[in-house]
Amino acid sequence: MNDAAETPKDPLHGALLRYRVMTYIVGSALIILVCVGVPLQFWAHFDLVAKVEGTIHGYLYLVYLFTAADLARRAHWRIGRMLAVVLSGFVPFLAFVVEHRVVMQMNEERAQLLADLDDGPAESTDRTSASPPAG
Amino acid sequence: MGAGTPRRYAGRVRRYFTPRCIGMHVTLLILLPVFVWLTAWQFERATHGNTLSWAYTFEWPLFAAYAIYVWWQLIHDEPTVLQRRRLAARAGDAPPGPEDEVGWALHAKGDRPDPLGPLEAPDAPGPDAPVDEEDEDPELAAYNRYLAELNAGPDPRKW
Repeated sequence: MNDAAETPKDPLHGALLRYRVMTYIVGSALIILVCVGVPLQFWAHFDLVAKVEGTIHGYLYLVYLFTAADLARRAHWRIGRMLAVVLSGFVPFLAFVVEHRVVMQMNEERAQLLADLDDGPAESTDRTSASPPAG
Repeated sequence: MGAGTPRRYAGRVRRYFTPRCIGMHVTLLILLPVFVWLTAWQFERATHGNTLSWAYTFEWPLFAAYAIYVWWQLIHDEPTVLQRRRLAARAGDAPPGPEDEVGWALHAKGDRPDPLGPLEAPDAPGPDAPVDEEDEDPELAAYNRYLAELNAGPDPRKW
């Protein structure tokens, strides 16, 4: 995210930040559930942590899903990335890997987009930069 | 509406039957009954004294709503013009630019233009280009943008 600060006005910044914050919350909640709640339930027969934490994780996951869908809508994500993000909410440790990849790929795409926009006018095939005839 | 309606209708219907969209329809049709069943199961557990199941009784319908929302969003998402071009370039067939439009006779037999003729001039401005005529009928302008979109080829996204 270092280069995002140098380039001006990323319209996706807010949505990406919301998604990232929710990823860390949900990813952490899932790790606590798997590393603390589930062992306690199975080996100590103390299932309070798993039940409460599991329920909290379930609803946090919903919030996470909606932040991801919002980002996907704004950034025109492909289905594959959407699926990875949905999966990473309930596969332990996957959330952090997917988040890292998503941020890297989106930075790349943004750089590519800016490059495309920069050399657009020189390119006669660029239909987005078609300007009305002068005169 | 008018003479353009059947073609416009066909175009609108066809977009729901690309392999990509059919895959999404099938996924949704599998997921929704599963979510409904899970809701019913949790509701039954909740009414039999498992208090925690109330949380899941209300959660599964929300997941179902989310599935519908994402299904709708992914079907109606249009790739931006830049994405479209980049995807097509990656697939090895860039959408025809003005310099690609050689004469009819020079086209290989396989990629002969549509015998009905191009829907619009090949170098027509893309959907995002500014419209020159200021007094253009907005409905006609929207229709022309739609034709240009069709002319740009099928959605190059696979998934």
